[in-house]
Amino acid sequence: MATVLANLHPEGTVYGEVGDSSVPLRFSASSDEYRVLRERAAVLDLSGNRLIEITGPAAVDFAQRLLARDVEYLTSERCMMSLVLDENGQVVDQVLAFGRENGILLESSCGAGTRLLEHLEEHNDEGVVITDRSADLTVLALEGPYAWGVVGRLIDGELASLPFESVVETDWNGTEIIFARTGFTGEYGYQMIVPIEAAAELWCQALEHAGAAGQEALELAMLEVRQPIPRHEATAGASVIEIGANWLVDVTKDEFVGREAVLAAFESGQGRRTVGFTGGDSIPEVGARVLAGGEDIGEVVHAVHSAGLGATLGLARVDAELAAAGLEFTVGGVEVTTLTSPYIVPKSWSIPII
Amino acid sequence: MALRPVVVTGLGIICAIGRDPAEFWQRLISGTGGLTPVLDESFAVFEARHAGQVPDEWIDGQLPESDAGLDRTARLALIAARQAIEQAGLAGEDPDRFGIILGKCQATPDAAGRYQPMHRTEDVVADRLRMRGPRILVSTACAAGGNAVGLAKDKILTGEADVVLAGGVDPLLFGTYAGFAGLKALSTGPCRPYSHSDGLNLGEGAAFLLLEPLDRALARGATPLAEVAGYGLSADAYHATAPDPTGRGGASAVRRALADAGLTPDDVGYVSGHGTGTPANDAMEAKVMRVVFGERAGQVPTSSIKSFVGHTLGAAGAVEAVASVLALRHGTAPPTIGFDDAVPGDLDFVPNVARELPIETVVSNNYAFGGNNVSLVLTTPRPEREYDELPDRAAVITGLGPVTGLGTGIGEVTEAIVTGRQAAGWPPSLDGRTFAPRSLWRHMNHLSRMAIAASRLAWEDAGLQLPRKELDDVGLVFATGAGSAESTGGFDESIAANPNKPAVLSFSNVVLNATGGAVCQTLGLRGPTTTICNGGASASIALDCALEMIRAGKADVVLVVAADETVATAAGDAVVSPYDRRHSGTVPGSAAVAFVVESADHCASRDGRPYARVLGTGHASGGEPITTGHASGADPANGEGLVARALARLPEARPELVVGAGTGVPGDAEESAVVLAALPGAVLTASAGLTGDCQAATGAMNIAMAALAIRDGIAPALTGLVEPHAGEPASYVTKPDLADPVRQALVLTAAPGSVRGAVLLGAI
Repeated sequence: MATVLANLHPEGTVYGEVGDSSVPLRFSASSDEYRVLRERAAVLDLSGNRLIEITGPAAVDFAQRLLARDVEYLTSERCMMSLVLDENGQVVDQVLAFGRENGILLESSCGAGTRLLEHLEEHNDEGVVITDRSADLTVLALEGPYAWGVVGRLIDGELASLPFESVVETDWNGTEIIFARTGFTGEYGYQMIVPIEAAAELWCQALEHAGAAGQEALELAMLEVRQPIPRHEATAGASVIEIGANWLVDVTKDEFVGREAVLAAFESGQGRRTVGFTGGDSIPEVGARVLAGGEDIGEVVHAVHSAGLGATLGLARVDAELAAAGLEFTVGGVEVTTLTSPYIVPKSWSIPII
Repeated sequence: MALRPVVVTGLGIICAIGRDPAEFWQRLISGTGGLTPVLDESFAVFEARHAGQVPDEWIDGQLPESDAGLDRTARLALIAARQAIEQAGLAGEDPDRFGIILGKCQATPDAAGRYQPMHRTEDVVADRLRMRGPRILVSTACAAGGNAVGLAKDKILTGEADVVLAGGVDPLLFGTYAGFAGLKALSTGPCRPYSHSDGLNLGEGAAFLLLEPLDRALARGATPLAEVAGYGLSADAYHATAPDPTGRGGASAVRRALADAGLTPDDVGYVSGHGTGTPANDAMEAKVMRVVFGERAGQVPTSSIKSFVGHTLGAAGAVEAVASVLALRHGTAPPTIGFDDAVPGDLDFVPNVARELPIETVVSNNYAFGGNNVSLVLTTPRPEREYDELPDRAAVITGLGPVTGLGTGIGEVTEAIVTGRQAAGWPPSLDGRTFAPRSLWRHMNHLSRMAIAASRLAWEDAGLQLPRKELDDVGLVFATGAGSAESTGGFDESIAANPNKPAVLSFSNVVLNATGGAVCQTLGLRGPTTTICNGGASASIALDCALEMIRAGKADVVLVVAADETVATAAGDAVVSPYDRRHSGTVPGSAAVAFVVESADHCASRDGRPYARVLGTGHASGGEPITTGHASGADPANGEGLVARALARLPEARPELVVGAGTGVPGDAEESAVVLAALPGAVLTASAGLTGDCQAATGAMNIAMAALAIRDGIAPALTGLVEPHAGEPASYVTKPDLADPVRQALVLTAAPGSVRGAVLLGAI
C-alpha cells in the first residue's frame, strides 16, 4: 500500500517498505524532522496504519474477545491502545481502538494491517462485519510540544485540551473527521481520521503550521519514551512480559484470545525482560549478544542513534534479574549502561496548553 | 414561551467579610478581603493556614438566646435566613406555601460533634421559621448554593410554593481542610485567583435569597432586587475531582442558563466566576469565557469574590448569587483581589479595584467535584408582564434497575419476589459482570459500583440506545441519604491517624454527588444533573426534579438513581415486617435503585415500552406528629400529619395498590392508618420488608415496585403480616401475584421528622 499523499510529498522523499505498506521514512533529514517533533510540532502521514471497522450486533463482544484490553464500554468519545494476541500469546498487532456508535474502529500499527485483518477474519465466530476502510479513510497525526497550538489554528482550540484518549467527531472545512488526543512520543499528540479526498488539503494546511516528519523520526521519538514499536520489539516467540507490554493487556478480563498464554507466562516467571541501554556511537545489529561480566545474558532487539541523547539508544532483552537500570553491559565490545524510561524528558511535560 | 417571572426580594449573608449584606457589599467594593490565619490551633498541623472565618461575635450577636444551643452550621444558616425574610418584609406567610432549598456540601456535626443527617440544618431552619412547603437539600458539592437558587425557581414555577428561601451553608471543618490539603489544593497564603492560581482557601458562611413571583412581590408592595431569569446545570462526565479541561461542561451550563433566560451571550454584562484559585479551575474557566463569549470574552468583566471570602463550598454559589444581586443593584462589579497585574492575559478579571459599570445581566458560575456545573442568570427586574404556565408534559417510567440483596436487575428481583425470597439487610451481589470500564471500576467505591450497575441495568431495561449527541442532554438526578459510608469512614479514619496523610481517593468520594458524577462519567451523560439528600424521601424529590427538567423542556430522558449503604454486616435471617404490631424494628440495608423517566412523546417516538405514567407527586414537610400510640395523633404545631398532607397534594387518587414507606418501625402505624382510611379500595405493601431499610434506595425501590405492579402485575408481599397496626390482613398485599390489574399505584417515601413524599403512577 502506498500513501495517498504520495504526490504531495517532496521529491527526494525516502520511502521504505514497512510490512505491507510503503511509508515515508523521511522527507528531508531525519535529525531535522526529529528536532521539529521534539521542539515544535510535527505533522505525520500515518497512511501505513490500516483502519479496520467492526460492526454488527456482536461487534463489541467480538472486539472484547480479540483485544487484550477491556473495550466493553469504550464509548464513541474514547480510544485506547491494546494488543491483539494469538492463542499462543504472540503479538499479532498493537492497535488503537476507537469506540463507535455502531461498533469499533481499529487502527493497526504501521504496515501490520494485512496481518491484523487476516487474524480478525479467521476469528470471526460472532459473524461481525469486518471492513477495511483504507480505501476511503486515512490517518494524519500531530506530535510536538506545540502541537496543541497547531490544533487551535487548524481546527478548534477547544479540542487541543481534550483529555488523553478522548475522541470527538468534528467538522473540518465542511468534512466530518474523527479527532483524537493520542500521542506516541511523550509530546502532545493528536490524530485525525479523515476521508481520503480531504486528506491532501488537511496535510497542506497542517504544513503551514508544522513541519513534516517521517517514520524514522517518529519511531526514534517513540523509542525514547519506551512507546512499544511492535515491528521491532515483538520478536518471534517473545511473550508479552518479555516484550514489556503488560500494560497493553488486562488479565482481569474473563476471556480474550491469548489470555491463557499470558497468564501462563505471568505465573512461570520465566523468560527474559526488555531494558533500554545507551553507550558508544556504533549501532549494534539486531541479535547482537549482550554480555555481563563476560557472560552472555541476552541480545539486542532494536537500536538506533538517539538524537535526543546524542548517543546510541537500544533495547536489550536480557535475563530477568538483570533487566534493571544503571547496570554496565558489553555489546559488541562496547560498554553500555542500562536506563530507566523515559530515556529523554519530553518538552511537553513542562509546557502547559493555554 | 415566557414563564412566570421570579424575583429576589430578600438577601441574607454571613461570611468572612460581613455579618449582613450591607457590610458584605461594603467590603467587596472597598477591596478589603477576609482571608486570615485559622484561629483554631488544631489547624496548625497544616502548612496552609489561611481561611475565610466568621468571627464568633458576629454569630452570637445576631441570634436569640433560644438558638444558642444549636450547632454552628444551623446558627450560620438561621442568621442569613432571618435577614433575607426580614428584608423581603414577609410576615404571616402560609407555612404550607413557604419552601426552603438548601445547598450544602458537607455532612456537618451537631453541637456535640456527632455527624447528623444532611438535611438536619435545613429542618432546623424550616421548623424555626415556620416553613412547611417544598423542602429540598441539594448537595452538588461546590455548586450546591447556585443549584439551590435554580431549584427554588422551579418550585415557584410548578406552583408548589409562593415563596422559597434558597441558599447554602457550610462551616469550616477540620477533615475537609485536611482533605483539600492532601489534594495539594490549598494556597499557603491568601488565594490569588486568575493570576497566581496556586491553590484555594476554604471559608465558611451562609447565604440566602428569598424568591417569589414578580407579580406577587409587586402586589404585596415588596421591592424586587433582581430577577432569577434562568439557570443551567450540566455534567462534565469527565473526572471525580478535576474539571473537564476543555471547559465544555462549564460552557454548556452557561449556554443552558442563557437559553432558559431567553438571553444570549451578548446580553451579559458581568460574570461572577467560580474562581477558586486552583490551576485546573482557573485555566478551565478562562476557556469557558472564550468558548461562550468568543471574540467578546475580553470585554466581559469576570471576577472571583473567593479572593475575599475563600471557598465556602456548599454556600459558595449562594454567597456569589448574593454578590451578583448586589452588583446589579449598585451597577458595580466587585474585584478579584490579590490579582497580580504583571500576569499577562486576554481576559478582564476586574483586578483589585471594584468597577462601576452598567450591568443588567449577570451570570454566576459554579463548578464542583463530581463534574457538576451550575450557572445562574440574574437580571435587573423587568416590568410585570404576561406569562405562560409551565407546560404539562406527560412523563413515563420506562426502565427499572434495582440492585438489592433480592437480586441485581429487574428480572432477578421479579423472580425473587414471585418465589417469596426475603433478603432484609443482605448486600447486593455485583459478581459476574462489570458495569463500567475496568480501569474505572477498580477504583470505585461500593456505592458508586451499585449505582452504576443500577443505572446501566435501568438503561438496558428501558431499551435506550441514544447517539452521542442525545446523551449530551440526558439528565441525571442522584438521590442519597448519606452517600458512601465506606469512603466517609475510610477518610475519617485516615484523618484521625494523621491529618497530613488523608486518604485522598476517599476524600473525593466523600462529597455526596460523587456517585452521581461517577454515573455520568461512566454512561457519558452530560445533561442537567443534581443530587438530592433528603434521607428516605430523596428518591421522590429526585423524581420531582426529573419531571421539572422534562416539563421545562430541559431533557427528554432523565435517569434517577438512588443509593445508600450500611456498614452493618449482613443480617442473617433477620425479618422486617412493616405495618406489623408484633414486630418492631428495622434492619439497615445497602442498595441502589435506578429508574428511567422519559417524556411520553420521546418514549413513543422510539417505540419504548413504558411501565407506567407519572400522574402526580406531592410532598409535605415539617416536624412529625407526636406519636401517642394512637395512629391519628397530630402535632398541634404542625397540624395534620405529614402523610395526610402529602396525599392531599396529589391529584385525585384511586389506587388499587399502595407501596408504602413502612420499614418496620413504630412510625408505620400512622402511615397505615392514614392510607387505609383515605384509600379504602387499596391494598398496602412496602419493599423494605424484602430488603431492609435502604434509605433513599428504598424510596426508589417503592417507585420501581409500583411501576412493576402496574405493567406486570407483580408486587412485593408482606407474607408474615398477621396483626397489622391498622386494618385487617386483607388490607395488605400478602401474595406477590396480584389478582386484579393495577390501574393506579401510590408510592410513599419518608424522611421521618422532615419530609414525606407521595407519587401516583397510572397505567399507560
